[in-house]
Amino acid sequence: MKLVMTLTPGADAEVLDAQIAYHLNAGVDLVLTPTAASQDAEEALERYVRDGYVVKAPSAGAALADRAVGEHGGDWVIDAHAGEFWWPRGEGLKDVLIPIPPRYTIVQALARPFLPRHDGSGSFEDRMTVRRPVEHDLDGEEAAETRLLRPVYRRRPGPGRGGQVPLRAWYPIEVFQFPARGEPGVGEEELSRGVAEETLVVDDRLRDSLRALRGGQGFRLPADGVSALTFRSPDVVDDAAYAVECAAVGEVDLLRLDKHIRELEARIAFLEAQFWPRVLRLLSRLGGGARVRR
Amino acid sequence: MKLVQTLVVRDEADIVDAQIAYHLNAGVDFVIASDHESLDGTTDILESYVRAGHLLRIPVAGPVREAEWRTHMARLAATDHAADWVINTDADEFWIPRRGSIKEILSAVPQSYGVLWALSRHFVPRTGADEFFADRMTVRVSSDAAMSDPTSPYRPHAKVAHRADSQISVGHGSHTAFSARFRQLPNWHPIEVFHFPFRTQEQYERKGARRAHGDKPLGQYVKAYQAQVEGRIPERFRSLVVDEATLARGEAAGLLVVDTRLRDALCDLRNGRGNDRRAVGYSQEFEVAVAGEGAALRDADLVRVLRSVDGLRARVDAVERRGWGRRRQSPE
Repeated sequence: MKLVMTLTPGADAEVLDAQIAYHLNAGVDLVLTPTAASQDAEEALERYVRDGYVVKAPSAGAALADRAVGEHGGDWVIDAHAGEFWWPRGEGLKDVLIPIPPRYTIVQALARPFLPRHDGSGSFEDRMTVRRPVEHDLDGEEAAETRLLRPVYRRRPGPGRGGQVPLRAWYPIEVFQFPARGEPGVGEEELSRGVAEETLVVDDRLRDSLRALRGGQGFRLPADGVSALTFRSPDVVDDAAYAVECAAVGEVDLLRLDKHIRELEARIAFLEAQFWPRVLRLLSRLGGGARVRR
Repeated sequence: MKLVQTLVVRDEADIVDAQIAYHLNAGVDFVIASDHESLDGTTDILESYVRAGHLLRIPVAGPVREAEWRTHMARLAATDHAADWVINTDADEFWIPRRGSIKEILSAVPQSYGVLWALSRHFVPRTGADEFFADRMTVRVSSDAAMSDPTSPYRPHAKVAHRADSQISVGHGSHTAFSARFRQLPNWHPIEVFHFPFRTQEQYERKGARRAHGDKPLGQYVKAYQAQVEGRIPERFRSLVVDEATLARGEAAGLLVVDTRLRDALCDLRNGRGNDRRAVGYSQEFEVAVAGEGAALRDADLVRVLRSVDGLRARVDAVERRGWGRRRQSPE
């Protein structure tokens, strides 16, 4: 299985370096990227381009994703943005994607926007260890899933393929999103209060992973295909608690189901209405052709 | 009232004897078992019940045809064994009534209703593979939020019981049954099904590897097979085992519960006391938890339906792309 990531790089070279090293250790085989946003970021990419981990492509958006499949043989494609770290709820990104039943062509990942800490010292990951739980990140917003869910695409067979089938209501990957430097942060007092009131969560999974990857010569990369990171599968208690957050996203309810069924009924009714006129037109064309031949 | 149990089994010698003995003591009058090429001693256990007149063993071979086998046995219960009710089971499942006995509950169902569902309660693997599974596995998942992970063995589901019907159709896994004669009671779960899907590392590996290639390769089996191919079965099984620290965390969060009902019932049977424990009803808290899990089951079913609708939408997309839907995309 080949996992390709398309990445729109941000201007922050340190974050970009960490992003690529982290994802290569999490199971990504190749990163496709358009031109970076800054000279520093370009320099950060150089090492990876040289070693064949990053390919620069003169495309962006959907065209880049098409390239990931068409030219680079990706079985699954992650479309990452600047400052995002895709965290598998398993022993690696491939580990969570391989057992997904083949009928699903999209796996959705749950976005976890982090809040910067007030203290500006230390590396960026040291300052990014606080986020809100999903239910406190919704703010009563309707259709929050468009903001909170990010797709991972499976390569599909060619012509005649059907539409996309997303795996709904379970998100086996979390996307840790880090805000740009300089945004106002969470102070100690606010953090203590938020944790006590369960409106803030301390989440240091990425910080610990990046610390483990940092070496004297920059971030460590997989050696002979073996990751320098160890991801732990969530246990049943973690999963049961995560189920509450997945439910809070509110992707599935009766009203939505009803809407989907009505839309489907209208489309099928249209197809049915097209059927006999098309058959009659076809027959009449065939009949006309026969007369000409006679 | 005559109660017949159907059973599909393959290589479950560590549990099938307890399963059949328990149900015969819990009110089941006769068992019909489809034995799918068992090689581990399961067949001998089944034959011992055949000799005692309690069981009909149907050898089945080749690729798994679960729904077909289950439907055949359920119909046979009606046509050849004068059943009034049929419960459809797997070897790792134990039907536990919440009040009275299984027969008392089924007798109370109004005549026009004939299909009801028992709520599955998933028990987690624990340490100590040498001990009898029921003595070790006394912890179950209890959550009112559905785990809709297609690779989890703990997705909420329910198992079907129905009045005897020679035309009944039972679906894969006996989660569904279709009867033209009887109405369904979908939201009342007076019986629980204690489910012990993974018990030891060896059984996890064997079951996963086999069922990853079955007629319905569920994600949990593909995951086990994947671990086998990569030589990581011990690590993968360990991630499923609940140790004391995890149990304490799960209990504190209300997500794991210690439940010794089956252990105690089987202990009584082993000590020759028979299964004379009668469920006498439970605390308000317990009933609320059951209601919560029932709600999670309905949420999980809603997810299943929406996922099926998504599949249909994708098929309609494909038809439209072949030309039938051109006018829809650019209406005249």
